[in-house]
Amino acid sequence: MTPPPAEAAFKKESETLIKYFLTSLTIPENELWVNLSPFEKDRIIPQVLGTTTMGQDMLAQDYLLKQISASLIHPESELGESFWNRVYAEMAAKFGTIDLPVDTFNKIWIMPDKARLYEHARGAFLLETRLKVMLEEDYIALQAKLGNTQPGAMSRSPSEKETTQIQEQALREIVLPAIEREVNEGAHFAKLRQIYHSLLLATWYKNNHKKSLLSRAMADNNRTSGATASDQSAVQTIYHQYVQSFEKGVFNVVKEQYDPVSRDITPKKYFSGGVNWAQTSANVITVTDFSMQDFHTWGNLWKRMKKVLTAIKLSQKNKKKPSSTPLQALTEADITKAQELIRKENKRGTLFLLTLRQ
Amino acid sequence: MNKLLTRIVLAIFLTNTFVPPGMAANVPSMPAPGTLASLSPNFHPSILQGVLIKPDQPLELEFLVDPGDSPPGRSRL
Repeated sequence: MTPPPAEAAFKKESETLIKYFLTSLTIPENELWVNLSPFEKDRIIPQVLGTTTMGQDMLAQDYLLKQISASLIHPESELGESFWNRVYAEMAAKFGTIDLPVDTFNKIWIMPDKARLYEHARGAFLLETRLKVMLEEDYIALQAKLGNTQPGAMSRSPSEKETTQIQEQALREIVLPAIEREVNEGAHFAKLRQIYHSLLLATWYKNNHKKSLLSRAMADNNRTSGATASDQSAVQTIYHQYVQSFEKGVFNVVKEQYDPVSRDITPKKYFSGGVNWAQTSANVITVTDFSMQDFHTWGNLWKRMKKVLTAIKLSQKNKKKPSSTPLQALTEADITKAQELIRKENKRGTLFLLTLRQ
Repeated sequence: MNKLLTRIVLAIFLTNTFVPPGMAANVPSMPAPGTLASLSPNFHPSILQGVLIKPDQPLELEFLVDPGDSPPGRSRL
């Protein structure tokens, strides 16, 4: 019997989320990054990640990040106007003129922020997650502090630094908060948040169940055959589209880009950078006891949740895709039962999930 | 009929001849180069919220999925 369209859509969506989980499980954390830069065409995405649906989705989201970031500083938009007013006011105050070269190219990165995860003997549940957005300068500083040499880190010369300092500060204070809100809450970056959740759970599984059969078979083995994308040319397609955007610019406003002193048209504004999941493990805060706030959070989440059972197929050629079967949505009776159990469990609240699972 | 068929074949031939393969189409859901992209409304997608391990079934995992908001045009699950 054919499932109703909504159920079929849920099943398909769940399969994608599980593919993200498996991809995150099998690819080492330090190879989970994408980097769109016109000057680094050989360093767009690690080869194996580029063959997967997750990698290609990450790259598409990164392209969107650049497109939105550039759009937000359009001088006729509300944010853009604030940004340019601030830049010119600071320049005038500091140098006595606004006829100074302004860097037209910024690198911007999305990184994992803190995540709170509730751990139980037989599972883990995400309570709170957040992503952060940062400029290249901050990203380099962070990587240096962590002792990492990450892809795409590219320093500016001291003279460039001086001329772009004002602009960067304005970006940091005016534009980045809007982008960070978009990344964490907006419809545009829904896919990135889906990937992040799957990645967090896979990372937890990889780190806490190293001896399990599944971990031994898949963890960090680049075994992606169940999660490869149907279109293996997508990485190049996205990159070409990005380069076109870089060359074209997102906007071409002469009044902003024409320099009346030199009578030159300055290059169009655009962004590079990427998404880097390398600090995912380090940013997870694991809790084993529920606070009252957690009870509230979890209670709200619980009302929405559905269960999906997945059998991972590990045949030699791995021909079969992981199958998922959506079970019945939780009923009102389930929720009432959960609420009763929460009350009984009082502080710990540890077993109600397993009790309810049929 | 023949005229229509000829036009279709001609259109396909011209498309394949003059449009470079890498530029034939943009990746879906990605704004085209040179276009402004605006901020979007809040949206809560379906996400994996938890994972349960089955000690007796080492190759089975149970996922807790938050179905999220229904995208426009799709009824709530």
